[in-house]
Amino acid sequence: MTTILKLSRRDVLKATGAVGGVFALGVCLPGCQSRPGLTAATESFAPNLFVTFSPDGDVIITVSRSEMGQGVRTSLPRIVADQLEADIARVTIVQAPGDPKYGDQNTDGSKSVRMMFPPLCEAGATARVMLEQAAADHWGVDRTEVAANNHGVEHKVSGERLEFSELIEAASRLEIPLNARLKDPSEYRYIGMSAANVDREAFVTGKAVYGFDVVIPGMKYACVARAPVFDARIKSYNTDAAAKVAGVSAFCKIPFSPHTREFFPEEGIAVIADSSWAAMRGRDALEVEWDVSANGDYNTADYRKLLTNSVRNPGTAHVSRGDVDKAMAGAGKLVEALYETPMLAHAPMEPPVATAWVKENGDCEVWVPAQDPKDTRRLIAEWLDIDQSRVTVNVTFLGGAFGRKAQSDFIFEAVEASRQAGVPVKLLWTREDDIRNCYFHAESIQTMQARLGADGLPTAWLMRSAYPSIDWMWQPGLDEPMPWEVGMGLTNMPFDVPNVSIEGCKARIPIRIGWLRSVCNVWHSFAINGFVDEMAEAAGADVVAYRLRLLGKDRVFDAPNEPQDSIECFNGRWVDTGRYRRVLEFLAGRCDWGKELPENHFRGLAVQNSFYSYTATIIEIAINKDGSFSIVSVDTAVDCGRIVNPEGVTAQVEGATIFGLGLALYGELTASDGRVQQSNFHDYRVMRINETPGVIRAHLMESDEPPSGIGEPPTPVIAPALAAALYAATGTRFRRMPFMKEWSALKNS
Amino acid sequence: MITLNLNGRETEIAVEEDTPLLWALRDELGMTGTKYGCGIGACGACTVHIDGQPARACLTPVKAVAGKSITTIEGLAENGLSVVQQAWVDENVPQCGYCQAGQIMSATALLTSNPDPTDADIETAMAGNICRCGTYPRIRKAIRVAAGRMSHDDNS
Ligand code: FES
Ligand code: FES
Repeated sequence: MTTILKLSRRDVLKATGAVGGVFALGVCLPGCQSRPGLTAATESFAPNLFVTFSPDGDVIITVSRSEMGQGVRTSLPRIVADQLEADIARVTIVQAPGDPKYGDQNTDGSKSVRMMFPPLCEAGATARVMLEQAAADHWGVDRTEVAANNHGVEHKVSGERLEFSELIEAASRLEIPLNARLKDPSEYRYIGMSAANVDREAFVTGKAVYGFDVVIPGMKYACVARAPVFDARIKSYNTDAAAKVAGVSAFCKIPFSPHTREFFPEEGIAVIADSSWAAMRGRDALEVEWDVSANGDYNTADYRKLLTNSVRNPGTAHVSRGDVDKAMAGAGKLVEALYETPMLAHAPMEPPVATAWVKENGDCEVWVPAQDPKDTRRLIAEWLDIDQSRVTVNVTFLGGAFGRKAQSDFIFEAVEASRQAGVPVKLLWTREDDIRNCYFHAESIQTMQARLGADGLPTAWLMRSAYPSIDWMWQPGLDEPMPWEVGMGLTNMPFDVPNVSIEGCKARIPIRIGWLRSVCNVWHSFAINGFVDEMAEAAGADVVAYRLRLLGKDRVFDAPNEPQDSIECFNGRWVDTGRYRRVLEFLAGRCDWGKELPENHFRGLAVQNSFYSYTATIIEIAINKDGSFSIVSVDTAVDCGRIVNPEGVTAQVEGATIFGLGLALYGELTASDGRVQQSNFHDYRVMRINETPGVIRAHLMESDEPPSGIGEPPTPVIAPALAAALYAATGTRFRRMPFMKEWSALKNS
Repeated sequence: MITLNLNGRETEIAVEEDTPLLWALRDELGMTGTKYGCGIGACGACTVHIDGQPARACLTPVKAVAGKSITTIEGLAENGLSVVQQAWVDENVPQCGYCQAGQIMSATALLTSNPDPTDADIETAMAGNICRCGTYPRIRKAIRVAAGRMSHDDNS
């Protein structure tokens, strides 16, 4: 087999170095930028390599997104294999390292399939067309007379067949065709068919290698005593006791990086040791005195007051339609409510961990559970002040992430520890580190006010939302929600109301904050669904019928404040109120909404569009004899466009539901003196199996729309649906999360 | 030096004797199938069997297991997959997979002592194992499937 490598940017052939015995084919990704403020505008989008044939005809498909439980290593290769007409049994999956040539690798925003579907279809189809052409050339017939079928190409007339293995050499000499014909959806063989997770055997045997499992010969272990309060500085430290811990060999300072520092870490002291245990014990024995400065004043009670005051005043109007003031002053019922959500942490089962090796020649290699390996590579290069080409970012399995591992602070700590120690270092975080030094999901407060007309529908609707912007991690002094944040559930709301004002209100925060599964949709969906129910009640209407009236005529519109990266990763329309309506009608029909329920059973419902998908949930609860409640069932319908792997989507619905229930029932962190008061699963409660409803059903809608998100959209509907069920049961509105706390207060009142 | 029987083999571990078994397994013996999730006995990710009983390796100092038999996820099946692991595969349980070794060790211990568990037995036995990905419905199902297959094997 000759050595041929073709890397292509669709229309530009560009050879780059040789790879033994493979035929490789690349495609160009759409210019997906990372989140605003992170990516230099000049960043180039190099050709990408997804399909490689080995000489025996097997296909190697590269997955450029991180696997954190959402099943991308199962779904993405099936897109390629389908368009390629490959036999999925002959596909090997390779995990891409961090590299700009793959385009955006930031595995967040429920965008892996949504963003990768078009280029991966194209990658597969282009390779298929070349193989078909090679076969046509071989038989001396026109390409229209041949067709690829299950890892070979057949001549339709003669019935002759050539296997891919017999064609790859000839194919590799062909020009890469432009606009290769994509298979018609009616011809799909993998897209739309359920597949179990390709890595499940590795998972159940303990063989999958996560960040925590990396072993590099000669490596040391490290644990960090890091700033307990945002931006705290080391005043003094004493290593005497720590040095006496058996196995502790060195200490190194993780330097302070002034704000804004992207994801560079807090100041700290890394304890280097011969084992994880020694590193942890050494860290605990370390005495550090911190200068906590003004951030030591941060506490939850005062912060809630600040947010509550903030929503009393007008904020920045992100949507301003009609004349809200005038309409609000008119006649009719006034409905008002205030909704609160707490601070949260992601708490993935695998805490942050990173193994880094800064080699003698100054090159750096890391093995990490990173959600954004490409950006991690850029920032490591910046940290070490070396060229990116000298940094290798290997991606392990992620033991969950939910947004936490999109921030690579833990990786830079490992890099710094290795740089100073001169050996490979695995730097691990304990659960306590994870909870206390999270990039928190911040608190939020929203007020809603509406004046209802004679028909019960709002003539005016004022929404005010106060929470700190995640962008303040890059923009010092930023003190209000950004358009992309209010775009997650407020400004893209589907209801047709003549006079609307949607305002983002002031909120500065002195802690690190970040993205948690569904991000701002969690609190916006809670407030909007809760308030629609309250308006429906004031109007004396059923919540389903009311929502349908509130939607008005089906409309399709581009919401004003879409996150830039999402826009570029999605080629559908942003808001389609018809899809919102249909998902609601579909679920209401499936669950026979309005039917008589068993005694002491109650239901609640919520609907939300997020990540370009449409989700509706009905939760049924039962009030038990002892006065407690149980969740009987959760039914969720999703329209997430074309579904690549229904089994994977179902699993995401189940998981996102349970994640949402955990947030709704228990999730809450509090701060005092600038420090988070919780530290582990005993005081930061998450869902357990005995609390999980016996019935969680996913109802998937068929759709020809472009694929949209699924990892997040089933989460934000859970809290409002449960709040509605609790209201039906108790007559008390649950306007503050988490509900178990509200429930106890109610029972004790 | 502590001697124990690990997955059927006499094994010596040279660590401080108060080192938790979890870290001895992972760092000293390179057996990384047993996971860290909390270090305080609150998540079950580190579940192993000590003389057949499920135990949290993060809270078990190695000195406490001298001379005992330890089974980890790596030692569950001699070849291929155990009945429980196979049920996990068939029900497509794992998402990120990180908690699953601990889940499977807890489920295996349950089915060993109670081959026909009720739903309540399953809840009780598995309540100490957290799965942040939320695979609980499938864990329940996989346990029932495994229980069914085990009883079928016994009867045949
Ligand atoms: S790590 Fe042992 S129970 Fe969590
Ligand atoms: S599968 Fe991810 S924590 Fe259980």
